[in-house]
Amino acid sequence: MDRIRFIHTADVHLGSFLQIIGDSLPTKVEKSRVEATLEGFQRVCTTAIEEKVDFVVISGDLYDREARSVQAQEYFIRECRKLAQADIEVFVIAGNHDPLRENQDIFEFPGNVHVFRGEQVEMYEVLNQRRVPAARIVGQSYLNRAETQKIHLGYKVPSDHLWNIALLHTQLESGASNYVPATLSELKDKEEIHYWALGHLHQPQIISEDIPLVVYPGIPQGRDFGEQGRGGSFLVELSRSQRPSVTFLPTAPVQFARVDIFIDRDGDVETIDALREKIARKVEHLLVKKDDKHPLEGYVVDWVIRGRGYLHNNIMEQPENFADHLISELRTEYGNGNPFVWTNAVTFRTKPPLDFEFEMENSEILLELDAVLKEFLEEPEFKEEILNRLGPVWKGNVNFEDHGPADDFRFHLDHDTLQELLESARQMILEGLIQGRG
Amino acid sequence: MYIRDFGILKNQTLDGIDPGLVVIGGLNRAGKTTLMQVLRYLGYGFPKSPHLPPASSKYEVDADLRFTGDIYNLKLQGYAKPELNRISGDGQLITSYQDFYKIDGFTYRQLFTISLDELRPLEIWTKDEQERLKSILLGAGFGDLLNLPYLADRFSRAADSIGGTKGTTTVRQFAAYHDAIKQGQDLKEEGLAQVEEYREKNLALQEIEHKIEETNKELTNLKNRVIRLDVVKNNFDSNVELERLQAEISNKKEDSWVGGPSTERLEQLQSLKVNYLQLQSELRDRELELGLPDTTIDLLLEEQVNLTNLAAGVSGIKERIRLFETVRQDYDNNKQKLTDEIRDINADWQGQNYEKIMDIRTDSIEFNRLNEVLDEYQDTKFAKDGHATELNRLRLEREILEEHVFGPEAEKTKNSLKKSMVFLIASVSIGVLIYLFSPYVGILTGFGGIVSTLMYFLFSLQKNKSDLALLRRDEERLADVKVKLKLEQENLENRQASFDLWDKELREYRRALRLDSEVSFGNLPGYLSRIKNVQSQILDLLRMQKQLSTDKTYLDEEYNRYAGLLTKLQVDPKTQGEGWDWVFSNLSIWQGNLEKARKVKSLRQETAETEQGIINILELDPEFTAEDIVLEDAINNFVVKGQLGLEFASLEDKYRELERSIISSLTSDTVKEAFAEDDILGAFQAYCRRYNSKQSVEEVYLSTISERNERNEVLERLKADRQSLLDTLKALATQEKLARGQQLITNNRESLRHLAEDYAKNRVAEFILQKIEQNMLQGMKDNIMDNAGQIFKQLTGGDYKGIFPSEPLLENDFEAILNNGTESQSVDMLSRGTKEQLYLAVRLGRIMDVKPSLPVIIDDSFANFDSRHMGQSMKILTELAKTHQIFVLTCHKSLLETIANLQSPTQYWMLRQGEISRSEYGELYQHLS
Repeated sequence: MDRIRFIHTADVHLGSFLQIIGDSLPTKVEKSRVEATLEGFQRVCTTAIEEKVDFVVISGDLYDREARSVQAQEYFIRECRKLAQADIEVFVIAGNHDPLRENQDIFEFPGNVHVFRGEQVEMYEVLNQRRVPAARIVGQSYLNRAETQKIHLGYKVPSDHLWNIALLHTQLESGASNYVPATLSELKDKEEIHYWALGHLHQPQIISEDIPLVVYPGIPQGRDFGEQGRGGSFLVELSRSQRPSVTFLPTAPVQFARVDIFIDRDGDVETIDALREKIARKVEHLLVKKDDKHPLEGYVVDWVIRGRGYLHNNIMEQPENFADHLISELRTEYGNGNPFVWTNAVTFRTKPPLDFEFEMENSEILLELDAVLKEFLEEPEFKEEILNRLGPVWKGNVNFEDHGPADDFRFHLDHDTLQELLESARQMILEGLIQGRG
Repeated sequence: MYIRDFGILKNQTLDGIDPGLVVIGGLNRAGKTTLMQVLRYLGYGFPKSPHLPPASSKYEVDADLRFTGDIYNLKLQGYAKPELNRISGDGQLITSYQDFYKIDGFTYRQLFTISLDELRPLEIWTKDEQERLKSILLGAGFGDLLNLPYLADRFSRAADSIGGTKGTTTVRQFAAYHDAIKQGQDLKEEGLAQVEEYREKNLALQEIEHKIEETNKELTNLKNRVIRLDVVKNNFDSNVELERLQAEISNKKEDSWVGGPSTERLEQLQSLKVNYLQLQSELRDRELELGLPDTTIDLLLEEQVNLTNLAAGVSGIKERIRLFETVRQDYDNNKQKLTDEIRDINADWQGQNYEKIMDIRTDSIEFNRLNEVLDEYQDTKFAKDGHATELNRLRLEREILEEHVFGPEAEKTKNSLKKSMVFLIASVSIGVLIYLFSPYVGILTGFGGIVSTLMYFLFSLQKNKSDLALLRRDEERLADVKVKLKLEQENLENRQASFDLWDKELREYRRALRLDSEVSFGNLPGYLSRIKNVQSQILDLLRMQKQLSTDKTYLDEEYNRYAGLLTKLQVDPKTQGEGWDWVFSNLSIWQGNLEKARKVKSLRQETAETEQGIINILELDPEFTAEDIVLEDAINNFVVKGQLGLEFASLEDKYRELERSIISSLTSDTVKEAFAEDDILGAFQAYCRRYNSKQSVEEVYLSTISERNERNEVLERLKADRQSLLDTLKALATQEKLARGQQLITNNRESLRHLAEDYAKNRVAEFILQKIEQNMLQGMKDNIMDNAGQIFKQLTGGDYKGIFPSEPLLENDFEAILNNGTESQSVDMLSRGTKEQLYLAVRLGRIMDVKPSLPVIIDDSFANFDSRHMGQSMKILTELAKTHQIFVLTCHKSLLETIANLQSPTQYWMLRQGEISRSEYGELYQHLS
């Protein structure tokens, strides 16, 4: 088998926007908000040309039905034309976000782009740089938003001297799934496949490092704080004589980062100026230049202020004003830099200093309070009860893959959020009790 | 307990405080409340609170505490937490004060400090106070519990204000953000719909593009038709004229003379004719004037160059003749002078020809050399004679000196010394011989001989001294003379040899100059000079002779040339003469003839050329032949024919001009494109022929323009539609709505999230509080109320079996269970006394429930109790004192009495203005009275 090199990407969600908060964003930030997914994809294509790969595979969700746009399609075609000039073919399956039945193309694709059909499994042979067949690409697109069949079981390819690359958009979970129910062992059992190019999960992960490799490249450009970390793609090299090489190429122009600032670590933060100083140090840390081929254009940051201290008391006098003022300052200070550090939000999870609770020490009510909180956090029936009480604005298992208009009005009460909520509630109750004692 | 510094209490020691009932009495302002605060905060430390009395410098309290048999020391300083140290005992070590007071400070202060004010009759309390009372009755530990419903309610109301009772996003504070998000969603929807619309419009655009292409083709055809019609319309009359000319040309075809003469050429021919006739007349006149036959004229013209050249050379010839005569005269004179000079040099040479004189090799003799040789000859001769004279003198001197030196006198002088030497040798020899025989005699003899000889010698020496000197000088002179003689002899011989050589050379010169031996050597240079001069004159003469001969030959040849030409031209040989004069006069005559002949020749040539010019023109007519024609007639015929040809050509020119004019209107690219044929004129004429008149063309032209305009309007409409579509597509292609919609959603969702979190916090807090309340009430039912029930039973003497809290607590208070165990009564139904008993029971039950037992502090409000109730209460307290240390702080002697009446072990302390001391009942009673 000849050596082949290709780029594996997925979940590009081309044209979708970054969830950056702000009423009038600076030009650069606004440009990133609107164009970062496009630019992220362009960087993937540029890398493909520079690395002289044999082909590029896109394992579903190239587009996002929530953000279909003419530009996105034009952009994709323009980039693919560049790849065509470099003799690089592109293989695409549709995923649950861009199923074939809901995603009619406006323009015709260039000849080097191959979109797999949704009705049946298809297979293509790829020539390498020496114009001889080197690999087969097998795959099937989503026709509809949900694909409940185990379509991968229908991937049948000869076992010979060619590399077999399979494209699959799956959540990789057993049981009933709307996203191709599949298990790792099912994939591993198909020995004739050498590389499973998966898509759907947005965090990059190599599930299996041995042939057949099972790889999720993650989203090339994260769009919110659910997709933190630097996005990118995998450069894959398969060769008979060496172990497979799967290299992550960070290409995302923008990175989402939730940064904790503790007011009681590394020196107490007792004043607002000290807090600003601490944030400045964190910004400096973020901006330490990294030797990336594709540099970051900016960070979108949620600052979460944590810890106990007297600053809490100051903040809590007018928490919203305080946060708004700080956000405004941070945006002015760092929002226009290069790379920019855009403050999306500042969240206060601080607590008063310990002596505030001194009065309550050993009290029966405190013991009872903590016991109840523990129960609430750990017992599922309480979580259910809490959700019932919280009403439609909070949901326990919002399936963002099936994101619909209603989901714009509700929030996911995941474990961490619940923990934060309970902690805040505890604080409120303590304050109320202490206040009540006079 | 030692109180070093706390409010009014300073350096107060309370030794041996009883573990049971301790009564501390004091008047108002004695420090009871201060002491109570010490006791209340002892186990927790003093807070920074304005409600506590200040310290002088800092709070400091020290106390020993008994705990399950062990003694611990507890120290309080300032606001610090209590410091705990075990003093004695070996039970489980306690290091934290929290393990000592296993209840929070607040609850302790509330629960274990019983102000008997709280037991005032219920009737006088307001509703709020009643609730407060319940809290008090329940003990501070239940105060929080009582607070729970308030808090829960507060959180609930806060949540309601944010998101209503159900957390629906369309209500209250949520609503604004919900609406904004909805607006964003609508924008996004519009944005997404744009994409579909874009696709449809894009298809429509392609259709319009196709229509535009078709219409453009139609318009191109119409445009070409309009152009064609326009050209036909504008050139219609021209085309009619063109066709008329075409017919006329066809009729006059026979007049056509292709290549015929132009008008100018015909005029030129007329002019040549006039010229020709004039030339002919002048030629005849000139020939008569010359009067020479043609052969002579030809010969003359043939020789004209020769004749001209000879005439030009006449003056030169005359000069050469004059010079020749002058040279001949000089030659004769020079020859005579030379003959005289030769005779003067050597008479023998007279009559000899010049060769012999020229043979003398004067050139081999150098004048300078001859003079040098002559000088050397004379010098050598003089020197030679000098040496001969000196030689003779020296020979004479030698003879005289030889006489002096070798004479007899000289011999004598020379021998005197030789005698002395012989005598000496003889004496010595004799002496030696004698010595052989007689040494002394021999020595004497020898010595005597030596002395004698020496003496003789000295004598002789003195005598010959002057003679010898003279002799010696003559000998030296003789030797010198001999040397000189030899030298002079050699010099003479040398000079003689040189002299012989010079003499020989001079003789050679003389012979070479062919001079007699009589001529002395001294005259040789003079002769040499004269002979050289003669030789030179001879050479000059010979050169002149040669020149004269050459000049003569030249003049003769020239004469022959001149005479030859004249003879050749001479018609009559008799007129021939001789000599240069004849030559010069005839030459002039023929020069005149030559000019005339030239003119005749020129006229003849000009006439011929003119005739040829005429013929050349006439030859334009192919029918013309040069033979047997009368030139004048030929010219006239030619002119008539030529003019007809010219008229025909003019007709053709007009035709061509018109044709060109029409074609020029067809040459633009647009017209060419409109006709789209290679033979554009043919196509044009074919088009013209379709129409009868210019008017009919114009009619069709106008109708076509109208049709074209109509199609143009269609095209414009299509283009406008296309532009509109393009604009729409451009607008649709933007993501602006999507981007804006998404941003609206993102921004407002963030705000909504803040609200949702606030909502959730309040709701969750409410829920937690409800849960806590529920749990704690349950705990009360299960545990605390058991103790309280027991106490209540005891207090009521068994009328009631127990108590339990009713729900909700705030509204329903407690219920007392009747002894039968099945009925219960709410607090309201109880008698006042029973109520008080119930509340006290609940509290004491609670106190007893706290382990280990902590000190109980009773404030002095018992005062308002009636004596019966006070008695009952204190009875319970004395019971309690068996397990708990109880401090009773009072200013009321009645309370003292009540306690004393119980006859229970009691310790008394008196407090006077910050001073504490042990006391007895009587003393204290007295103090408080």
